[in-house]
Parts: sequence; structure tokens; C-alpha cells
Amino acid sequence: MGVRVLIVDDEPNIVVSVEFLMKQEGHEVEKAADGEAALKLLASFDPDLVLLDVMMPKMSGFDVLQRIRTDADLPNPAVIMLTARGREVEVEKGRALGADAYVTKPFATQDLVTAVRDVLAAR
Amino acid sequence: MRRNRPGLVLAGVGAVAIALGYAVAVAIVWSGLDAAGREGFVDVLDLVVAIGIGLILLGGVVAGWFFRSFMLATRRMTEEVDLIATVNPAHRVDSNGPAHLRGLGRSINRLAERLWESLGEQETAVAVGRSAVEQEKERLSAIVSNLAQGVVVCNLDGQILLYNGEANRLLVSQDVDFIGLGRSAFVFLDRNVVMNALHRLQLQAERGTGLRPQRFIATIPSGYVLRMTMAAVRDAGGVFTGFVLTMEDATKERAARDRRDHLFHSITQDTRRSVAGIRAAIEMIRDYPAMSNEERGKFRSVIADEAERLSARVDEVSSDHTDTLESAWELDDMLADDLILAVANRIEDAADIATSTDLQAESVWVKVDALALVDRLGAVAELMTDQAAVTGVVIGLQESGRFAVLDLSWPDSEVTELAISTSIREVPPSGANLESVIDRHGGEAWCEFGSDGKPFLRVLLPKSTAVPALAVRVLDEGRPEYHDFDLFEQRDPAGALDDRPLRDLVFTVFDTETTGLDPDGGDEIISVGAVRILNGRLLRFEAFDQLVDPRRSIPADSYAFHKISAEMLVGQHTIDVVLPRFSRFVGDTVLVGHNVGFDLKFLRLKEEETGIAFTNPVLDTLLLAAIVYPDAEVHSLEAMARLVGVPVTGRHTSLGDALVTAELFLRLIPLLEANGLETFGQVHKAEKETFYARLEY
Repeated sequence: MGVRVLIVDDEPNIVVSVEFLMKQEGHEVEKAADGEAALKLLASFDPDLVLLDVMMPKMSGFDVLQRIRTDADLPNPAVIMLTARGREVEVEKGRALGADAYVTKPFATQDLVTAVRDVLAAR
Repeated sequence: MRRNRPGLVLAGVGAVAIALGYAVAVAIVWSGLDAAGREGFVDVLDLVVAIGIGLILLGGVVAGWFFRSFMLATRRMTEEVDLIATVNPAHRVDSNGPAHLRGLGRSINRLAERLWESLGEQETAVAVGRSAVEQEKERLSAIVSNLAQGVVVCNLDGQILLYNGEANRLLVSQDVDFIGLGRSAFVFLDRNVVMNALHRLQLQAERGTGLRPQRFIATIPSGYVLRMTMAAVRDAGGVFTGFVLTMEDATKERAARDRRDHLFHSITQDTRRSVAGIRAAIEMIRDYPAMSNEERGKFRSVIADEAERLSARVDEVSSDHTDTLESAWELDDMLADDLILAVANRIEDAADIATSTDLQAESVWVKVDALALVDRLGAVAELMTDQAAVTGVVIGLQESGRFAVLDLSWPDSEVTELAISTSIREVPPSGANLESVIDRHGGEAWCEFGSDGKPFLRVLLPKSTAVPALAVRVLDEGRPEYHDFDLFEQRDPAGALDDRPLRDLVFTVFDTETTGLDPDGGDEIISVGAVRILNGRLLRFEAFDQLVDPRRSIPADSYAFHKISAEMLVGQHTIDVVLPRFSRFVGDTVLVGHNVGFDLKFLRLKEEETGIAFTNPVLDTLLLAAIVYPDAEVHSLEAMARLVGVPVTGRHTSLGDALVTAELFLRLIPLLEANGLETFGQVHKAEKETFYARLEY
């Protein structure tokens, strides 16, 4: 299939599982621990999907999403936001900024897999 | 000059009269003489002229004496009688005057005695009659001044009619503004916010739906966040005449709520994050059993790691944020010693048992609901007394880590473990038992055994983390003049200042102390004191009292006068800070001082430096006294104050002199009225005339 997934999260303990899961799905995976590293990888790795954590040091996930959607020089992959803040208002904000889906931590891994499949199918 | 003119005129008239009489006598003698006689007369003409001059002089002296002993003395006596009749019934006329007036003086003094007695009776009667209204007002004022909430009552212009000490504390930021009767509340409060609330109240009144107090939050210049409640004041006819604002400090409350909110969000977030890691790892292990051992090991360590993080976070929250979470309860910081004292009193009162204390720790602060705690511990002691022959209770205090340890023991009585354990859980007819009260404090209570094997009650209470500053609420002594309800009636004083009676004006009576008498020669102000007069009442509690660093030395002779030393002025504000503040205190009131020109000269010399010009209308009590008592030899503050019966205390401090001046001024007002001077314009004009008359003199 050759789907490339970029995981952007500063929490290694969740990245371990998400990476494993995506590989089990047969996707090619790259990881970034903060927004700046993610933006660099975007150009070189050219992912089909970004799993993007909201709360990160320096640039937040929202900042990264905004750059992806507004910077014409960057590829324009599908984006699923991951967040530990369960406020509905953030879901709205993510949608408004152009996220394709929104997953709140903690989540059932199967739900994440489903979300990834739906988003990729919709592209 | 002017003062002596009647005397001179009289002396002249006397001299002329005698000269005329003498001339007539000489003429008669002359006409009756023959030529020889006339020749002889011419020979003694020198003598005749000399006698004539002597007689003329005698006439002048006699007339002068007459003026002094009759006219002047009579005039002085008239002034004294006026004084007795108006402002100083304790005054007595001087009976050392000329002999013919002594009898009259004694009679007047007897009359004054009778007046004094009947005034005393009248005063009592008036006091009784006044009690209904005045005493109610005073009582209200006293109650309001002791309320824990700030209270401000205003008329519709925002003029303050009543306020209390707490309102003063909350509203007034140090060194910037002044709260005071008759002053505007809009210095502190946003006029629009207040008017909006008032408008809503008015709408409610029009709809007849009943008035619900308006609540709003206000951030005021002093930096406090205040929760305000506003109610309308209406007269008997339902017309709005003003409003009452009560205010509470919401600053701390808001900060505590913010901390709670923040804590809640951060806990939620951390928990979500950790649980996400654990859950995902577990699901990986469960859903992909074929994974390698190395991979499985990675997921296991994620689980262990996150579980550990969660536990640490929970510990942290419960130990560091107890205050934050418990602030929902109304717990006050209290010194454990005081708590024990209160418990001892409660036990002695209710159970009539001797108590002793065993304090092994000092200055331990606890956060307690003192009322509930003291009551429950007292009840436990009572229960013991019912069950055993209790002779005495020992209340002990120790410190142990984060806790204060409070022990109740009965060393001389056979109190059982069962009795103590039961008393902890004994539910009183009303309310909670000791166990739940202690639990609410985040503490514990149990039955413990001493080294002698005797059971006792042990209570652990968390120590208060923040030792509060010793906030002693100083209750004002005496009766603060914190209210003036006359302002309800008195809105927007109409008419020009000149046409308004003195009684209706607001005055700032002030005095300064200086390094010397020569402002042009480098002398400087070292203190400023002032008080306000509103509606004919001296507001002693709204005083301005400020020492000033003169940025120069204090000459010894001036020190002898005011007793302000250079050391006292170290660290005081300089004049460029004090005058703007004083200017705000004065506002647009009329300035009053004794020999006020002197003080004003100092103020005017600072206009350029401070940018503050005092353009207020001014009255001088020295000149006013001179209007009323033109013949007094000195018009000094002290002499005039004594004359009108003002007790002279605290002289030669600015505030002390300002107070004496204010009292003098209040007593001069009726005396000026007796001279037909009522409005500011009339008084000011008379003052000017007196001023020029004195210059001439």
C-alpha cells in the first residue's frame, strides 16, 4: 500500500504503541518529538497522514496544523489530532483549522485504527 | 488706627468743649474789666493762655479716660455677653473693669450662671428628645462600622453619606485617594457600572416586580477585586434617593478558584496522558500476542513507568494542594494556643471542670472552623464528666511534622478507652460528631495510650501552611463620624459660592509646620495637617496628617517650637509627593487656616515645583476673629480658642492646630451670623475690610 504516517508527540510512552500499531497496519512510520522536527520531516518524508499531538513544548499541535494547511510549500497530508485535553471547544478548533479527525487520550487502540482507515479512505 | 478713632474724636470733642468754655469765661472776664484791668489782664495773658492749654489737655485726658472706662469697657462687655449668649455659655465677663461697671458685670455673671444651669437642663431634655432619631442613626453607624463587609451609602450623585472602616480599607489605595463623607464614590467605582445597576433597579421598581439587589464584580484602583451588592435607597414615596453598596474582597477567592481550576485541568490532562499510554500498551500486548519478547518488554515498561507517574502525581496533589482543595470550607487561620484556650474556656463553662494546658509547641498555626471544633471538643469533655468522676482535664499541644497534635487527657480520673472512642463518634442532637468535624479539617482523632497506660484523646490537625500576617482589626475608638444622612436631601448645591451660607459649605481646615518663618529665605514645610468640616460638623476621623522631608536641616529654634526632629523626617515623603496628595484631600472645598496667608505663601512657592496650585476660596480665622472681636489685644489661635471655649490641646502639631482652628471656626460662624454675616460672600468681604484695616493699623 505504501502509506506513510508521521507521528508527532513528545510522550515516548504513547508513541511506542502508536508506532507499533501503525506498523502492524502495514504503514511506513516516522516520528517527531516536537513541532519543528515535524515540519522538517514533512518536506522530506512527505507523509499521507500525520498523527499530531496538541500539547507539545514550543510549537503546539495547532500551530503545526495551521502551518500545514496554510504553507503552500509544504505537502498537505491528512491530519488526526491527538489530545489529552478533553474539552469540546478544542475539537471545534481542530476542525476549524483543518484537522480530519480528533482523538482524545486515552483511546481504544482499535478506535484509532478505525479513525486512520476512515481518514485515509476519504482522501 | 480705625479702632482708636472714636477715642481720639471724643478726646478732641472734650478738648474743644473745654477750650470753648474757657474762651467764653475769658471773654466775660475781659468784657467786665475796665481799661486798667484790661492792661493788667494782658500782663497775665501768658498765664491765661497756659491755663487754657492746660485745661484743653485736661479735657482731652478726661475724655480719653471716659472713652476707655466707659465706652470701650461697655463695648467689650457687650461682646462678652454676646459670647455667653451664642457659643460659649461658660464664659464670664471680666469684673475687674471700671468701678461703675463692676456691679453690672457681677449681675451679668449671675445671669450667665442661671443660663448655664437652665442650658444644662435643656440639653438633657434635648438629648432625650433627640434620642429617637439621632441615637438610631448613631447606632446604625456603630453597627455598620463593625461589619466585616465594606459598606458605602451614597446619594444619586455618588456622594458618600456613610461608609465604614472595611470600605475604607478595600477602596482606598495607599497614598492615592481619600474616602470621606460628601466625597464622590466614583473616584473608586466606575460610574457607568454603578449607574447601570441603579438603572436596572429602577426598571424593577417601575415594573413593580420587587427589587432584587444587583450584584457585580468590580476591580478598583487599589487592585482589589470586589464582589459588590447594590440595593436602592428609597424615600417614603418610593422615589430613589440613593444606593447602598456592600462589598467583599473577592481577590483571594478568585485566586483560589483559579488555582482549583488550574489544578483540576492539569490533573485531568496528566491522567489522560498516562492512562492513554497504559491502555494502548495493554491493548497492544492483548491484540498482538505474536509480538517479540523485546517488543512485549517495551510495552510492559511503558505500563510500569506510567503507573509510577500516576502514583507520584496523586501524592503530589494530596500533599501540596490540600489548601487549594479545602478552601471551599470556611476555615480560618488560628494560632493553636488560642484554639486550646477557647477549648479550655468552653469546657470550664459547660462542664464546670478545672482545665490545665500543657503547651509543648509555640506559634503553631492551624486552619480551623473554630466554632465547630471548640464545640465538639467541649462536648467530648462533657460526656466524660457524665461517665466518670472527672476532676480535671489537661489539654496538650505538640507539633509533629505537618500536623499539630492536640491531646485531651484525664490524668486523675478513670476514663475508659471505650468512653473516649464512643465520644469521638457520638452524634450530638444537632450537627456533626467530632469525627466528621475533624475529617472536614483533613485531620484525624483517636484514642491513644500514654506511657502510664492511661487512654487519652488525640487529635491531629494539619498545620496551616501560610502563616497569616497579624491582621489586627483596629476598631475605632470613640464614635467615628462615618455618616451624614443630611446629604440625601442636599444634591447639587445651587447658586454661586458667594450666596451660600457658611453652614452649608465643605471646608478643609489646615495648618503647616515649617523650619522657620521665611519661605523666601529657604524655609520649608515639614508637616501638613488638615481636617474636614461638612454640614457644620467636624469630621475628626477624616484627617490628613503628614510629615514632610524638607531636604534641609531643622534649625534649633524651630525645633523648640514644633518638636519635630530631623530623625523623624527621615524616609518621609518630600513636598512634591505630599502636595499633590494634599490637593486631592482638599478637592474643591474652601480652605480655612489661622493666619492662613503664612501657610499659603509656603504652598504658593511650591507651585512651580509640584505643579499644584491651590486656587480654592480661602478664609482666615484670625481675620474672622478680628471681625467679631476688634478690640482684643491679640488674635492668636490660642487666645481666640480659649475665649470661645475651645479646649486647646495638641498645639504645635499641624493636625492638632488644624483641629483647634476648626473648632474655633465652627464657633465663629454663629458669632459672625450675629453680626449679620451669613453667606460666604458677606464674610469674605468683611474679612477683606478687616485685613486692610489691620494693615493700616
